[in-house]
This record gives sequence, C-alpha cells and structure tokens, in this order.
Amino acid sequence: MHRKWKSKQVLLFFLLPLFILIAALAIGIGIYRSKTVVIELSLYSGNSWGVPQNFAYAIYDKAVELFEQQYADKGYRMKLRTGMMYKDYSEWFAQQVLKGKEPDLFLIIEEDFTTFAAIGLLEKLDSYIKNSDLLEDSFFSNALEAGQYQGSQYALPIGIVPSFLIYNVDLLNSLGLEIDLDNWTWDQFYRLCSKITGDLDGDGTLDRFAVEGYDWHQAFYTNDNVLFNEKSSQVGFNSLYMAQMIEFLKKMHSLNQGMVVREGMFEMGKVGFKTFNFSEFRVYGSYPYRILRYDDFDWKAIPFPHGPHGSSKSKLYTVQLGMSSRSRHKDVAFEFLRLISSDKEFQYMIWDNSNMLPVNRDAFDQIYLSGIMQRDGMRQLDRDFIESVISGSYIDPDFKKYPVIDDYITQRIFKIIAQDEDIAAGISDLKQIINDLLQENTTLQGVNR
Amino acid sequence: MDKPISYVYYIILILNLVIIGLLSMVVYQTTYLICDTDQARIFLEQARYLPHVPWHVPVYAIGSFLLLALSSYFKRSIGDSHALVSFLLFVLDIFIAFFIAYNINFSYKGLFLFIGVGAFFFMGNLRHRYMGIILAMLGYIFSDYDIISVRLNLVSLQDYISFYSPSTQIPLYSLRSTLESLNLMMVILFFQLFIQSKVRENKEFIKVNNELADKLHQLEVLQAKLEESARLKERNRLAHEIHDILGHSLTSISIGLEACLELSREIAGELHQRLFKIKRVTDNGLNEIRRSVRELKSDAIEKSSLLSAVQELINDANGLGDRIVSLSIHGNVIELDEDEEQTVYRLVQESLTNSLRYSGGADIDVAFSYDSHLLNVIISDNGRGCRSIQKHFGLEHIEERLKLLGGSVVFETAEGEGFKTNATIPLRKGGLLP
Repeated sequence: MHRKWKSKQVLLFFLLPLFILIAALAIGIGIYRSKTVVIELSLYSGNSWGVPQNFAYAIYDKAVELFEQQYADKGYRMKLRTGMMYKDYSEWFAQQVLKGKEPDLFLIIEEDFTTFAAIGLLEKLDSYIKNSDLLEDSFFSNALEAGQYQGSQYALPIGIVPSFLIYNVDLLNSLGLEIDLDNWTWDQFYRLCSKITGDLDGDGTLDRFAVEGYDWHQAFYTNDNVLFNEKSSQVGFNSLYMAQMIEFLKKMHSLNQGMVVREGMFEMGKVGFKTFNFSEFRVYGSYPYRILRYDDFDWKAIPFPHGPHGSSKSKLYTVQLGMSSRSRHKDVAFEFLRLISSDKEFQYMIWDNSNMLPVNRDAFDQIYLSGIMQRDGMRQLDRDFIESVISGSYIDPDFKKYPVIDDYITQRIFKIIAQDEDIAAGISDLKQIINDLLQENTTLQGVNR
Repeated sequence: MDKPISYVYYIILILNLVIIGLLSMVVYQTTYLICDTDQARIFLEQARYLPHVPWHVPVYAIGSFLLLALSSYFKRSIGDSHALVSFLLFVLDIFIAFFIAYNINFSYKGLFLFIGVGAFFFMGNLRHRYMGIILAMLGYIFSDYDIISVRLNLVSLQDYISFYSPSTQIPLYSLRSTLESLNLMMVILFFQLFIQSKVRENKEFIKVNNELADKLHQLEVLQAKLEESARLKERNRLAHEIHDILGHSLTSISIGLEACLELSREIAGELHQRLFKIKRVTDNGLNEIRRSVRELKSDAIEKSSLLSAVQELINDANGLGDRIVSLSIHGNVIELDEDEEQTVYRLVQESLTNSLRYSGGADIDVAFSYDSHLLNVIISDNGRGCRSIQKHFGLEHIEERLKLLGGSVVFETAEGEGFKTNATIPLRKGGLLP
C-alpha cells in the first residue's frame, strides 16, 4: 500500500508538471502564431504562354504592398517564395506538398489544377466567396471557370491572356486579297491561304507560306468540339467533326508541299497569317519592342476562322492562384486572394506591371477608357474584338496526363495526314488509345535503396 | 494477475510500438526519398489524396502510442478500485488507437487486438470487459484501409511502398507481415494463459469452499460437544452439592435419629415408633439421594468405556434381588463419541430403572447391535407392562437426547406383555474400525 502511494506521488510530481509545461508551451505557440499572421505565397517565373516577362514578380510585389497597406492595422505580413522556373515549378511544389511545407497561397500550373483539387490540397473557395463582397459577375467568366472543379471554385484567376490570329495586311493587300469576317470560315481561310502560298523566285521550292503556328488545336475548337467528357475520364469528341477537321488540315498541309513553316518567317514578311496571343501583341505591338520585330509591315489581329459546325474560338491563358487546405490562416489568405483577383485598384495595376489583361471587367474597362494603351504607343486592339475573343475562348484541359495525351494526338493526327491514312479508321484508333491513356495509372519509377 | 500474463501483455505492447514505429518511419523516410528522386508530382498523382505531413506521422503515431502505454500504467495502478475510471480510460484508448491508425494510413489493424487484450487485462467488471472487447473488435473491423478510404481520403501505405524496387518491397512487406503475425500469436498466447489462470482460480475457489464447509461442520460438532460437556460439568457440580450438603444433613439426621431411637426405646412406645418411621424415611431418602447422585455424576462412564459402564449398571441391578438382567452384544463394537456414550448410558439407565420399578420382578434383557454407522439398543422385560404409556420426565428426556443425535426411540408395551424400549442411534465414527 505504501509503495503504491509512493509511485502515485512520483507520477503526480513528475508527470503533472510535465503535462502542464507541454500544454502551456502549446498554448503559447498557438497564441504567438495567431498574433503574427504571415501568409506565404509561392510564385514561378515565366508563364504558360511562353512570352518572356521582365520583372516577373513585380505584379506580386505590388499586390503584397497593397495588401500590407490595407491591413496595416492588423499587422498581416506576406512572404514570397520565388526562384522557380515555370517548367520546374510543378515538381518543386509537389515536393513542398509532400513535405507538408507548401505555402498558404500558390500559383497553379494548368496541368496541376485538377490533381490538386481532387486530392484536397486546394481549399474550396465557395463559402469564402459567398461571405465576401466578391462578385462573380465582375470576372471574365471563362477565366473563373478555369479555376473550377466539379462545380466548385478552387482557384481564382489574376490575369488572362487571350489568343487570336494576326495577318500581314500589306501582303494580303498586295495580292488583292480581302478578308470577309462576316463569313470567316475554314473555306475562306483555305482559299486565302492557297493564294498566298507560292514559289516567288521560281526555284521549285515554296518561299511564301499561308500560316505560322496553326495546328489542330485551333481547328479542333473552332468546329464545336470537346476533347474529353466532363470528368476527363473518356474521349468526348464528335467523330464527324473530327473527320471534318482532319480533312481541312490535310488540305492545308498539302498547300505547303511538306515544308514546315519555321518560327520567325511571319516576321520576315513571308507568311500571311500567324497565331498570336495578347502578351505577344502587347510586347511587339508597343514601344520599344515594336521597333525590333514586326515593324516592316502593317499587321492586324483577327479571330480564328471557324469550321462548318463551330464558331471562332481561341485558347485563353490564365494565371490561377489557389489556397492550401492546410493553411493556418485561411481567412487572411483569402483576403489576399480577393484583393489580387478582384480589387479594382490592383487589377488596374496589372496593365502596368505585366503583359496580361486584368481578369476584372471594371479594370478592363478602365484601361480602355483611360487611354493608357495609347500612352504606351500600343498598336490598336479593338475592344469589342478582344472582348468577343475572351468570351469565345476555351481553356486547355488541366489534368496531369493531358500534356502526354496532347502530344500523342498531335503525332497521330500528323500521321493520318502525312501518311494519308483512312480518316475514320485513324479516328477510332485515336479514341481507343486516348481512352487507354486516360485509364492507365501513372506509376512511380522504383528506386533501389 | 499471473506474471506470465503480464509478460505477454508487455511483449504485445512493445511489439505494437515496434510495428507502429516501423510503419510511420516508412512513411516518413519514403516521402523524403520520393522528393530526392524528383517524383513528388507523380506520387501526388498516384496517391489520389493529400498525404500526411511527414514529420506528423511518426511524432503523432508514436506519441499517441506512448499515451496508450501511460493509460495502461494508470489502469494498472488504479486496478479494480475505480472500475468506471478504467472503463473511461479504455474508451479513450479506442479514440487514441483510431488516431494512431489514421496517422499510419490505417495500414495496421493489430493495434485494436492490443486494445482488446487490454480490456481483459485491466477490467475486472464483466460487463465493462465485454463492452470493451466489442468496441475493440469494432475498431479492428473498421480500421481497415479499404473500408476507411471510402469515407476518409487517405493515401495507402502501398502507395509509399510501391515506390521501392521489388528487392526492397519484398523484405519490407515480409517484415511487416511477420511482425503482425507475431502480434497475433502473442494475443492468442495471452488469451490461452488468461483462460488457464481463470480455470486454476476456479479450481482453487472450489477447493477452499469445500474446506470451509468441512470446517463449519466440525465446528458444529464441537459446539454440540462443548454444550454437552458443560451440561455434564454442571450436573456434576449439582451432584456434589446435593451429596455434600443434603447427604451430610441427612446422614447427621439419621445418626441423630439412631441415638434418639436408642434413647426412646424404653420411655415411649409411641414416640419410638414414630422415630423409627422417620429414621426409615430418612434412610430411604439418603439412599435415594446417593443413587441419584451416582446417576447424575455417571462416574461409571467417565471412568471406563460405555460397555463396561453398562455392565456395571446391570451388575448393580442383578445385585438388588432375585431377578436376572442380561446383556447381549451383536456385531462389531464401535467406539462412540462422548455425547453418544452419555446418551446410550442414560437410555439404558433410565430403562433399567423403569423396568426395575414397574415390571414387578421380571427378568430384563439389554441387547446392543452394532451396524456400520448405527447402534441399536433394545431393553426389554417380560413383566406386567401397561395399557398405555404415560411419558414422564425420564422418557421424554431420553427421546430428546436421541433426537439431538439424529436417532429415534420406540416404546412398545401392552397389558401383561412386558415393556420394550427400542432405540436407534446413528454413529459419527465409521463402523469399519475394530
């Protein structure tokens, strides 16, 4: 009995203070953490549309400055994690996630979005949006949709880069060709292209080409087609539309007589059309860059021509920012998300600090109204045109396997065209392989340690 | 609780700590290995769910397991004195076990076997014990990754292990399943030992119970003997008193009367006669007292065995007149306990006295028949007998004494047919003794 009492006393004297100490420490750390809110934000340099950007983080520095200013009374602080190139960002970020060290907020690479939303890494933003003054109507809806997964918002866009077609006005004028945008079909496009393509010096090889950078993507989406079903678990395209597209590409391909239109030929004035995005337009359509490139002739932006079943559609690049579901300060982090995606003052700054367009419609309007474009000496870009391009744009599928599947489709279509395969058989083969690729599990490469 | 059971319990505890440590370290190590080989993005794709933060896994799992061990210590030190506290701690254990299982991605179920073993090890209350084992078994069933992952988004341990090449995977899997099997075997051993100890406990209990019943019986017998002995002592004292006081007085009176008789022989005829009558009454009284005292003291048995005491009684009776009193013994003689001897002696004495008094000079026969656990005593005379028996104090007393010993007595008589007393006494001591 005495021994027992003794051991209990020992327990009481040693363990109880230990527990109290641990509890006090935990509470202390908790209080300290809740008092000093530091939101981390990870960024990549570079972008998905491949146009170099000087001072890549300038826009985020502005956002941080504005945020810390707005919440100066609460002492919120932001910490940027930079230094990763766009192409290395995905793996680097995944490692941070695995180690549990991912920042509160982070830029999301397109192909990561679906995975991150599916595994629960991205915090669902619906309730935060509902409780804030954030208006979904103030966004360009396509950009907002790019951050949605299974009907919920998982990321908010910061800026957008629409894409379109440009043409060499001087070249077409000299050939007496005129574009009828009211009936801007593949047929018209093909007719124009066939007239542009030619062997000027008569050496037997073509030296003037129709279009640079145009591939199956532009044709596919302009014939009202979708690649996958809603869950991205199976092929979702219409075989008839696909067949029409391949027919069209085949015709276009034959124009070039097997010659590849290299990048830069449009700039040399030897190509009639070129696929272009807003970022490039901004850079090369303004001082000082316009002196360096695309300045020897007049050029103009137009929408893509459409197929028999579709309308003019083009790819929309977006920059998406998401929040970690493991963040400790989600409410504060969302405040930053809200600011960067929908604060009119900040969104207007996007123009000066990046080559993107703001995702906020009011900021977009303000840019057009303020004459800031003319101040920059930018080539004219019609507002109605750019708005229709944005509203008629598509977002690339944003799941991990897509780049592989995309590569495969490109190769397979090229094979059908180049080797003159039976189109119907080729399409059914394509469907089969894509479905297989979608079902297939990606596996880790074993490491022997 | 037996020592071997405690040892097995602690072996199971340590084994579980090792398994949980191993699994959590696999998760932790593999995570960093995946990062080092730049396969984090592919792993996330394949895992389908957000993995645990690596350092949380071993810290939370092992830390919680230490809490379980602490809870074991508490339960052991409070024992059965606070059954409810024990049970509440046990319920807490279940939650902790689920938390551990969650941290190691529900890759190990054996922990709930450990918890179940604890239900038997720590809880004496049968209801608590069964509730405990049901809870633990439910935990065992539902802590399965395949069941849990339907509701909870968890990366499976397999996803981690599949990162390694087969040459590492196979030893890892076999180590894991070996440890799990060892755990299972230890649990079975625990229950085997537990059941054994319970059976042993039961046997001992029954044995002690039987011993107690025996002791109780002996105590009852002893009590009866003690009572009898006290009664005898009191009777002896009374006999001495009567003998010493009344006997002395009567003797003095008798001697005085003798003198008076001598003196009055010549003087007064009437007085002399009267005195003579008084002297006779006194002498008779003295004789009666002496006889009574002798009876009360029953010195005869105290000094010798029952049979010789009875023989003495009979000899005394034979010496009284011309009648014949005979004794016959059948069967093997068994030694009787003191109270039994007393009763038989009193029975013979009372019956003889009655026969001598009322039979009218007939012969008397005393017969002792010994059986293995029974003594039958018959005292019969061929005298006058009587029409009906009027049980006076003597007969009732005999009946009572026999009843006390579990025996019985029957009196048979009829007009002119003599009187027969037939008594049967069960004997405590066996009849096989010589």
